[in-house]
Amino acid sequence: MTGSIFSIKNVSKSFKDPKSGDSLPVINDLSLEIKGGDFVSIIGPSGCGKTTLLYQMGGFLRPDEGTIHYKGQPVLAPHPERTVIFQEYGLFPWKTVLGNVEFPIKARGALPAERREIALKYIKMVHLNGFENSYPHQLSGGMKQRAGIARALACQPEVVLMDEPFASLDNITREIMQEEILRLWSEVGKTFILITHHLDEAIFMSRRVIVMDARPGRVKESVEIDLPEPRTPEVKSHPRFAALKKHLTRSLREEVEKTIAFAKEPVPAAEVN
Amino acid sequence: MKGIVSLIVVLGAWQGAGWAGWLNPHLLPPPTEILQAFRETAAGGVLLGHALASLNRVLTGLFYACLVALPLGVLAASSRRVRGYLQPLIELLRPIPPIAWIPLAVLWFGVRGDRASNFITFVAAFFPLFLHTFSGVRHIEQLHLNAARSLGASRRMLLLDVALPSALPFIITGFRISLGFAWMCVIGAELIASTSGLGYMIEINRSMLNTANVMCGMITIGVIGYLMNEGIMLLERRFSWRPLQ
Repeated sequence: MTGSIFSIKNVSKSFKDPKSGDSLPVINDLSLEIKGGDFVSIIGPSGCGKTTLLYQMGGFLRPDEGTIHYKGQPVLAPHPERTVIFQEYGLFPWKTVLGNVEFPIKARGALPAERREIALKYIKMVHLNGFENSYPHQLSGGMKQRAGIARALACQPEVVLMDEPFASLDNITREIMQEEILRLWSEVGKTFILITHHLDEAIFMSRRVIVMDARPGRVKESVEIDLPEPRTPEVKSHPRFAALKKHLTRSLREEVEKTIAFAKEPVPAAEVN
Repeated sequence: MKGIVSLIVVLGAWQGAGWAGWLNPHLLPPPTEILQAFRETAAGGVLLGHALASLNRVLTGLFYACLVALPLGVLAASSRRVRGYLQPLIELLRPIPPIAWIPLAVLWFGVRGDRASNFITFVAAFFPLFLHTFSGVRHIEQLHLNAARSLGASRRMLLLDVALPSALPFIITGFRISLGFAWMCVIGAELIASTSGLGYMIEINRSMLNTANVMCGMITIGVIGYLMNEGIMLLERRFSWRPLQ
């Protein structure tokens, strides 16, 4: 496939159960191509291996079988070109917002003055100016997330991998941050990959939604989201949005039901949404 | 407030017992006599001289302990191989109380000068500092390590911008414990292996049955130990990046 930035072929991954020592398959024979510049969401029931997949794309984990290529090169280790925004953001609590955003710039060897200037540019981009000298614990959830995004963008990444970045935000902040990220995505023109279990979010933000099977994870289907761009909140009342949501809800629901039957434990309602 | 009340009651009863002639002043002199001893020893600068000698030994030992324990702690925490080599050694040496090293220190360094006592404070300060640095670096959150790696951190940045600042609250706590422990042990060392310092001062006054001076030295030891601990606690609050509850 031309224009693929990520090429994932027949990837399998299992983890050892620490108690029984049994091997627990998490991802089984998963293949996926991701086009450069796209916004892609990966959704699936809890435990379907979507975070594992993201960690493999980020280079934190190696697949047991199969290959992951980024721009034609096998992914062997983390790299700022494919940076990750973690669920809890992973901001360094001992550094200010400025210190956090400067981190990747320092890592690529910029001089202190230049470092500061570039960092301030990204801080401004996420509308966090005035909070350069605040520490993460002094910030609200939404502001922490903005700082995390500024830091990720300061890597000048080709791909931004996001692991449920909105999980700990309230609904309003979540919606605002979704729009913010879409704005940044269209500004920087890079590839964004979002792990979520929130359907509305996936449809609203993405050009393509990948639905994963229940564990062991595999791509169940890949749905093009042919909604008008740039996406504004009005898109959510588009009839096409409703149709896509109906289709994806059914698809996801089947998988969630499998996990319920499999694990015999209730899955929170929010998962089906 | 309550603390002051109980202090006054104890001191009052003690003084009262002294006045009533119930106490042998050679064994337990009343507070007024100890106060008098304070005035005398402070006036000639004797007390200050001994206190500074002890402090100097504690800080010297602590300085060398930092020099050895910090890098070793970081190394042991970040390398499984180093950990494998060090652990049995540390675990065997750690239960030996620093004061049990005094005879050896006397043999190696003699009783004149500071070297024997410096060695004892080094031994005392080393273990808490090493163990706290070690566990501080071991307790770095995986999330922070992953974040640093995905932001392109070099090994140098992982150490200086992530591991050390992340471990700093632990290290300062280790520093405080080391300081307190070294302070206790320097007194022990000076009782035996020194010709100056507060430990020496209380021992020499004991041999002259000058009990008021002995207790004056003891109180000075207590007050200095207390002040050092409070000082580092301030530092801990200042340098702790953890949000305070």
